[in-house]
This record gives sequence, C-alpha cells and structure tokens, in this order.
Amino acid sequence: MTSAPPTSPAAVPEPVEQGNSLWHDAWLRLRKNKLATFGLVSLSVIAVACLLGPLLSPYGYEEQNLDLGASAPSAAHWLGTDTLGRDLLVRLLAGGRISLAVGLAATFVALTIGVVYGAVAGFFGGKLDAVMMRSVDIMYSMPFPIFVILLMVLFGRNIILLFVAIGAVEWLTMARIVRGQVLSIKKMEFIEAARSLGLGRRRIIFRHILPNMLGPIIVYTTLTIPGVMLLEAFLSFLGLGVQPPMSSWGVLIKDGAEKMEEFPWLLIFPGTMFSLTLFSLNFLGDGLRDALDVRSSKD
Amino acid sequence: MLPTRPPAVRPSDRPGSRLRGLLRLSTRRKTAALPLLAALSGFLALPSCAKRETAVDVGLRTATLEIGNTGEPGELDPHIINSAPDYQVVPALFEGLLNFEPATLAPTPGVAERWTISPDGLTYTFHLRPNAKWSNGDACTAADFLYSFRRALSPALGSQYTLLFHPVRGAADYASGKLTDFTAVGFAAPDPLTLVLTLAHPTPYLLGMIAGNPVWFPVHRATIERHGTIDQRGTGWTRAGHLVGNGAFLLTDWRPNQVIVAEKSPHYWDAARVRLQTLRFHAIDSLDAEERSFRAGQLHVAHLPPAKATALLAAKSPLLQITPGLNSAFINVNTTRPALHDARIRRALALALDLPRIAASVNSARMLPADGIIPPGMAGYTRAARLASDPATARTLLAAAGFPGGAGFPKLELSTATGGAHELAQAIQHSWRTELGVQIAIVNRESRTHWDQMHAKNYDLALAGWNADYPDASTFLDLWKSGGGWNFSQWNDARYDALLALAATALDPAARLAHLQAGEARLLEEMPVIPLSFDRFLRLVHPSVRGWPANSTDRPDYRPIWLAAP
Amino acid sequence: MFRFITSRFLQSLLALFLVITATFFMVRFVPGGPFTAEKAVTPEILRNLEAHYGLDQPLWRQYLDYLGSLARGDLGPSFKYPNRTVNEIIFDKVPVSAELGAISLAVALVLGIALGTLAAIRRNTWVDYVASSFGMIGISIPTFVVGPLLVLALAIHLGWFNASGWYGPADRVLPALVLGIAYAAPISRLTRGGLLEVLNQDFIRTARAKGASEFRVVTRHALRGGLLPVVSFLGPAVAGILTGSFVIETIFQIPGIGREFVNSAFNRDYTLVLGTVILYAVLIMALNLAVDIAQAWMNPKVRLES
Repeated sequence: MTSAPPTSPAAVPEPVEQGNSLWHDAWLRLRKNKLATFGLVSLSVIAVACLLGPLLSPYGYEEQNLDLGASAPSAAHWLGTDTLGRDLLVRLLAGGRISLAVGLAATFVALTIGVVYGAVAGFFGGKLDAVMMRSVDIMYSMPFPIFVILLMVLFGRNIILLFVAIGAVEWLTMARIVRGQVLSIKKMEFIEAARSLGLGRRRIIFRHILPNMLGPIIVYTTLTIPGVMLLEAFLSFLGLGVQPPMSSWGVLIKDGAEKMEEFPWLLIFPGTMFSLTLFSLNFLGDGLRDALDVRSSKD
Repeated sequence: MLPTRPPAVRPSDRPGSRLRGLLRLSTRRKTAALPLLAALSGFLALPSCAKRETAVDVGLRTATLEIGNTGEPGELDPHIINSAPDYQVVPALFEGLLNFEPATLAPTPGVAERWTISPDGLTYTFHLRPNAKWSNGDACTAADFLYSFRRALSPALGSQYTLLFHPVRGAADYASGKLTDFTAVGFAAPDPLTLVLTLAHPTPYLLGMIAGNPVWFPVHRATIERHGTIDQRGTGWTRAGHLVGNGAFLLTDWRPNQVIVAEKSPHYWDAARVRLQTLRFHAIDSLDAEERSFRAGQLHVAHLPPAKATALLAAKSPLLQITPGLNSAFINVNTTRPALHDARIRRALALALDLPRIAASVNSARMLPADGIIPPGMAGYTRAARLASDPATARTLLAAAGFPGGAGFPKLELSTATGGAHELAQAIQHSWRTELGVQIAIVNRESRTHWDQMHAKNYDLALAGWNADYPDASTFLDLWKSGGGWNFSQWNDARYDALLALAATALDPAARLAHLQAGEARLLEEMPVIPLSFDRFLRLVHPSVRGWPANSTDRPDYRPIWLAAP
Repeated sequence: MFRFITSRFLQSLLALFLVITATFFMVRFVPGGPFTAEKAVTPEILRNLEAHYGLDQPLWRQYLDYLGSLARGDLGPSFKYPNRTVNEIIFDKVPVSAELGAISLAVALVLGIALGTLAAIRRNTWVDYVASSFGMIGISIPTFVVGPLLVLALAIHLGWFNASGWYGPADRVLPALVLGIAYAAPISRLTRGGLLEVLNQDFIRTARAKGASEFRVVTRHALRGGLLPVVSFLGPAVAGILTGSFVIETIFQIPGIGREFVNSAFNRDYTLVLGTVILYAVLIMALNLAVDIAQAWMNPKVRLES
C-alpha cells in the first residue's frame, strides 16, 4: 500500500544510458543469492514438468480405475492414485498447467491495466491524477468476495477467463506502485534534462521513465502470482474451482486435505508441489528486489 | 505390484489407539511445522495439562447431550423452518398431535392421546390429552391448534410447507388467498380437548403427514401476539427467553453460530420419561470441523465427511451409526433437449451406470445404490419393477436411437452444485464415455445458481434429489405428474398421470399399491429421471449415548435418550 | 485542516454511496435469490415471501427504500435468519473477529519481527534461509491445510485444546496461531528489508564503531527505523484483520463476521451482503482518512489535496 515515492536517489542508481550494465549487475547479484537461484531453478523445472509431463505419461488425467481406487505410491503410479483410481502424478502436472496459467493470466492482466493506469495518473498529475486515484480508493473499499462470486457466475465455466477477470480487479496495487514511481522519477534531474533537451513526451515515457520502473514492476509481478495461486486454492476450498474432471493444485489440495488421514499422499504431493512453487516465486521475488535494489516494494 | 488400499484403521484396536492410528498417517506432513509450533506453544506459556475433562465427560455427569448440528438454524419457528439444522432442534421444543415409531414411522400418540377415523376416510377426530401444557404452564388446547393451523396457512406468513395441509378441505384455497374465511376450512374444535379435521378426499397417509412435520406443530398464541401479528415473519418470538413451546425441552439460550441450549421442561406432560437434563446444539457448518470436534471430546453426536465414514465403515467401527433415509438421489433429465426427448436414450444413459460399483468407490457409507426411484422402508410400499445395470442393452438402445457408439451424440452438460457430489458426477461422466462413447461435460455451479438454472429448466442433465415429505410413495411419484411444479424433467405422460389418479382415489390398500407400483414401473421405463442412490444418514455416536432412536426421517426424538459411562 | 477533513469526509461519503449502489444492483444480478433452495418454493409461496420482504416492488423502488432505511441507520432484516436484523448480526460478530484479529496480529508481530530481524542480521547465511523459509510458510501453505493439521496434532492427538468453538481463552490459541503465521509472513519480509536498509546507514556504523554490542545496535538503533515499512503495512491490514477470515472462522467454527462475507453471498442474503460491504467500506475509508490526517499532521509539507 505504499504510494510514497522512494526517497533515496539510489533507487535509480544510474541513468538509463548504462541500462545494460544495470541489468547485468542485477543478474550477478541475483546469482549470488542462493535462495533466489534455487527459486529460479525449481520454477523452471516445475514449469517444464507441467508442460511436458502430461504428454509423456501413460495415463490420462481423467482416466479412472474404480477397481483400483485410492492406492499409495507404487511402481505403476509413482505418486499413487485418488479415490477414483486416477494417477496422481499426471493430475498433479496437468493441474500445475492450470494453476500456473491462472497465476500468469491474472497477473498479466493486472500488470497491463495497473501499469497503464498508474503511469497515466502519475505522468499527467493534477486533477486527472486526483480523480483517478480517488477511483482506486473507492475500488479498494469494495470487498473482494462479492466480486469473485459475481465473476464466478459470469465466467465460472472457464477458469482462465475467470482469472483474467480477477486480474482485472487486482490491478489496484500495481497502479498505486507505478504512479508513485512515475511521480518520483518525473522529478529527477535526468528527466528534467531530457525535457530541456526538447525530447517528446512519448520518448520521455518510453525511453526514460518506463525502463526505470521495471524493477518494482518485476518484483511486484513475482509476488502477485503466488497471491493469485492462493486465491485459486481458496476458491477451490469454497468448491468454486476448475470444472471437473480437470484438476488444479487448489482442487487437489482441497480434496487431499479432506482425506489427509486416510490417504495422506493425496495431500502431501500436491501440497509440496504448491508450496515449493510459492516458496520459489517468493524467494525469486525477494531476490529480484535485492538485486534490483527496489526500496519501496510492496507486501 | 500395486499395493491395495491400506487399512486406515485396525478394527482390533481400542478407540483411543485407533484414533492415534488414524493420526499417525498424517504426521509426515507436519514435520516442518512441528518444531516451530512447539516453540510457539511454549512461548505462549500454555497450560499443557494432558488430561482435561472434556465436554463429553462433563455431559455424563450433568446429563447434558452435546449435539453436532450441521449448521446454524435459520429459524426455530415450526411454521417457517426449512433447513436441515432447524429440524434437529424444533422437535425438542414443540410436540404435534402425533409422534411416530422410529423403526416403522407408524403414528403414536403425541398431544393427541387417541384418534378416530370415519369409515369414509374423510373425518379425523383427535382427542387431546388434558395434561398437555405449554412451557409456561398454560394448557395446550384444541384452540391452540386451530390458531396454529390458521397461522401456518396465512399467505403473508409464507410458510413453505402448506402443501402438507392440502388434503384438508379448503386448506389449499386458504393458503393461496382464494378463501379468506378460516371457518370454512375443514378444521373444528367442538370442545377444548377435541379437534376435528374434515378432508376433501380420503388420504391414507394423512397421519404420516401430521406426525413427521413441524408445520403441523402448535404455537403459543399469547407469545405470537405479544411480538407481532398472526401472519408476521421474524418477530423475534423464537428467541431464548421469548419462546414458549410445548415440547419436552425448553429453549434457554441461543448464541448465533455457536450453540442452542434447551433444558428439560418441567411442564411437559411426559416429563417423567425424559432423562436428559440439557441439550446443546452446536452450529458447526463444516463436516470436517464437526468430526474433529467429536474426536476432541466436544460432542456426543456428530456428522462426518464421506472419507471418514468410508474408513470407519471398512473398520466396522461401533462409533459409526448408519440410518437408511427416506430420500432419493437422481439425475433430472430435461426431456425437451435434443436426444434426451427419446426415452431409449434416457434408458441407455441409466443402464450404462454400474451404480453399486460407483457407490462403492465414491461414498460407500452414504450411498445405497438405487434400483428404483422410491426408497425402501416406505410404509406399505414394495417395488415391483427394478433397475439393474446393463451396458450391452444400453449400447443397443443408443444405436437404435441413431447414435451407434455415441457417434454424433449432441454435446450435453451434466450440471452439479458445489459440494460433495463432484466425484459422483465424474464417475458418471466416465461411465458414459467408456460404456457408450458419449461425451458429456460437467458443469459445476455454485449451489443457488445450480438450483436456479434447474428450476428455470435451463439444463440438460442435473444432479438432484428429493426428501420424503411424508412416509408414502406418492411423495416421490407426484413429482413427475404432467405440469407439476417440481417436474423439472418437463415429462408429460398421460398413462403415468392416469395411474397416479387411480392411486389417489383408491380406497383399497392393495389396489392403491398396485397403481403406485405400476406408476414407478412406468417411470423406470420412460426414465425422465435416472435413479442414482438412496442416501443414508451418517453419524458418529459416542458409546455413552444410550437409546438414540435413529429413524429414516432424521428427525430425532430426544425423550428416550440417556447417557451412561461406556 | 478542518477544510481538508471535511472535504475528505464528503468524498468518502460519495464513495460509500457508489459502493452501496454498485453492490445493491450487483447482488440482484446474480442468479438465484434468497428463497432459491434445492426444493423449489411453489410460485404462490414465492409471491407471498417476496411480498413480505418488498421484493415484488420495482428494483428502483426497493433501492430507494433501502437508502431510506439506511439513512435511519437500519440495515434491514436478514433473509437467512428471519428473526435477526443485519444490525444485530454485525454488532454480534464484529467484536469476535476483532478479538481474533488482535491476538493474531500480536502473534504475527512477535513472530514476524523476530524472524525478520534474525534474517537481516545474518543475511545470506543459513540462519537467514531458515528464518525466511519459516516466514514464508504463511504465504506458501494454504491456511485450510495448516489449520486442520494443527487441530489434529494439538487438539486431537495431544488433547490440549478444543477442536472448534469460541468459549474459553484456550479456544483463542489455535486460530490465532494459524492466522498469526499467515500475517507473520509479510511482516517478517518487511522487517528484513527495512532492517537491511537501516543497517547500511552511517549512524549504525557509528554506533558499532563506538563499541555498542550487536544486540544493542539492532534493538536500540536499527529496529526503530527498520520497522517503518511494517508500520505502514499495518494501516490497511487492520481493516482486513477486523473483518475476519472466512477460512479460519470456518475451520475453528468461530462466530465472527468473516464467514458472513462469503456465506451471505452464497445465501443471497441481500441485506446482509450489503451490511458486510458497508462495514468493510466504512472501515477502509475511516482508516485511509486516519492515515491521511496523521500524515498531514506529521508532515506539514505534504500538500493537502482538497
């Protein structure tokens, strides 16, 4: 909720002309952060597994075997099967596609709207800014569950669409962050310099302001994806998750939590996968924040 | 090598060690969090007394029954209630003319100590017991019943079960507002202890309607009028301290979303037989939380989630109480949709399901696989026609209807409500795909949206169900009469209507049974609904609870229950 | 100053009006109604019920009626609980959620600040990794998994607590712990970040050079500045804390307002939906206003937007 601009000029250590070395430095700093590196690697592994796994598995995610029922991990089913005798591994990987897609889709939408809105408000300032930010305040005071249930009714049959819609509600914080950044960058000397050199508005926005905001935006993005994935799990807890027989991590965890004492593997594997992903995203986000030296980050 | 399902519980263990055994299965997941938790609990300086006296132990001492009650009752007004938790509490606070035998549901004396029926089946005379009292000491008389029936039928009150008065002459018209003079309705009280009902047509199951349903319960006139008018909703007369009832227990506390407390009523006419001192109904709206509270020693009686019930059933646990229910779960088939208007296709969809196998995998404790639409245990009804899985015939029927192997079958949807049935829906979907080659998408909607769509007949196939309003086959068969308000299949069949009309007017029980049987057979032939299961009521009952009169309507009678150390 | 407060107050009032209007029409747009049930109510009875609650009136008329009674401070009767008013429900339940929230927040602060401080002073060592990982449990494992696990371990296995309910002081422990762990995560991260920034500054180096012990440096000098981000996080977080948590209140069966946010929408309890929305909006706006006033008061240089 920090709309306050970063106070230290160190937030933008170098003018953009040396952008390459800025990003290079950040990459080196990130590499030194063991947790962030771990996050990056494990995320890549999970993403590749979810993309390719279901194609390589001998089972379909919806293929039942009622005679087998719930069985513990074995050579045939590495992570066991659920009560309908479906292979948990393939359901976990197929569900990962949904959960990751949901996280990315909602975050992308939130990012797009938030950046444009925040940048416009911050850049033009004045009355327009006041009106735009008051609107954000009003939207902040709308309770989220009502929105979500309404959206469920409208888009409940397509979970990705649902989360695109959720992203369209989630952009408020992004807009505030971006506006704050723009306000502070606008006042900095190199922008003044660019302006006095007679550079056009468009050029100033895209060449000078935008690149300097990328740090906070990237950080906030890596921190929004886990939030959205938790929301998907919460909706599954309410029974409003993805349409069966498709699975998602939220649905698997919810089902597993209900059967954790009888068939613990149904909770352990999806729970581990989900938490590992969220840990990784959060570590990566933190690492990026350190690496990009973003002070006014948002939690 | 596939390991079979591990035994989650060992039958030979004592209850305590069994619970621990259940627990052990889940400890692996906790390892990361446990040291932190231990540190935290130490930090918070918790008293870690190992053996606390649990609520269940205290109950034994004070004759207090701790009851898990699936959720917060919306109301305790017998004429307004409509959700499951309400029906657990209200029978403790009020008593109608009749009670019922738990095993057979046969009517037994309540406020009426005896009754007579005229030979033409049109006049019922109830003789009330002179010692029937309200909880404030007032006498409970025939005038109270007249007032209560007038109230229940008042249109402005909006009672949802006025249907159960319809056999009484003029009651339907009074409820719809067509008749405004209550004296023209077939209720009369010639003296304070006599109540006479005059029916529009003979109704062999009238006593069953009266016995089981709170809408027939009396309310205390002076209390109603102190808080509002006769037909006013939500006046607050049902709050603790206000409510005056005539049941074995008296409402003493109602803490919303926590607990409803009822104490033994000293004025109840049969108080000598009531052995419990206090009932405490806990509004626990999560089955998982309810089951955990039972295991933590907070409840004597609790509901439980399907996975737990299945495990306890497999272990033959004495804690699990399974009671057959008077209900039927089925798939409504919208007979106006493409393909589904063809009875052969509806039959094919039904015959393709191996219900016993599906029930065993999905919810073996709760689901009794259906072989018809009317549940067993319905007084005076036995099924003539039976439904049995037959995938080969199903494929033949589907081919005959123009979709061999499912080729070209329209894209249809199976609608479900959020909640427990999603595994059932997936098993059905899978059976249809593998047995018939028919692809049907599951559409899982938030409950009220699902119901709304079904009631608007905006669906193809929908998971649905019906609870008996009274113990007679007609409570189910009447649903599919042409143009009926609950006929969401939109199935119109003159032959079926004729059979039900014959049954309604038949005075001879054997003839009536034959017509009803023919009606169910017609239903199974035409399949406007696909039978799925008869669901059983599942409860955890602590060994100290004695004399729990389980019955197929799930309306408990708390009078004979007592607590004794196991 | 007075003009600033008045104008912000009027703006908030306008915002509240917009929120109420949007919600009023939104809930009516959702399919199903308060009397939709698995067992459909017959059309006659539905007419009776709708007439009783005025739902048979045109929507604009209902809207005006609602605004009228709202102006008198009456949020109307609940549909799901016919013998209770929305006012009563809110006044009954908010204190419960607030109590739970306050205890959870205390747990979260102690846990979060301790972990964050540890992580910061041992930056990029295993202490940092372990503390950061613990700090992230709350945002990486859903509370509907952590809650039941705690109940199984501490209530059922060890028998220390009740598994559900909200009666004695002991019933506060488990829910506050689960909710506290969830809130501890952002606090520990903010503490770590804030401290790292402060620890690099000159006055800390000065303190160290003077020979102050590391403990003293952190507690006496660094924490004060390092906790600033935490303090600004607490502002908006309080609104969320006061209005409860659906998952925690469901798992532990706590009679708080958090469950009503979701359940009232599922029940199509129109008046209760609006009541909870108004509660939430008013809280957020009041806290925002308080923050603005505090900022304006502390820093006269902030230009007062009016």
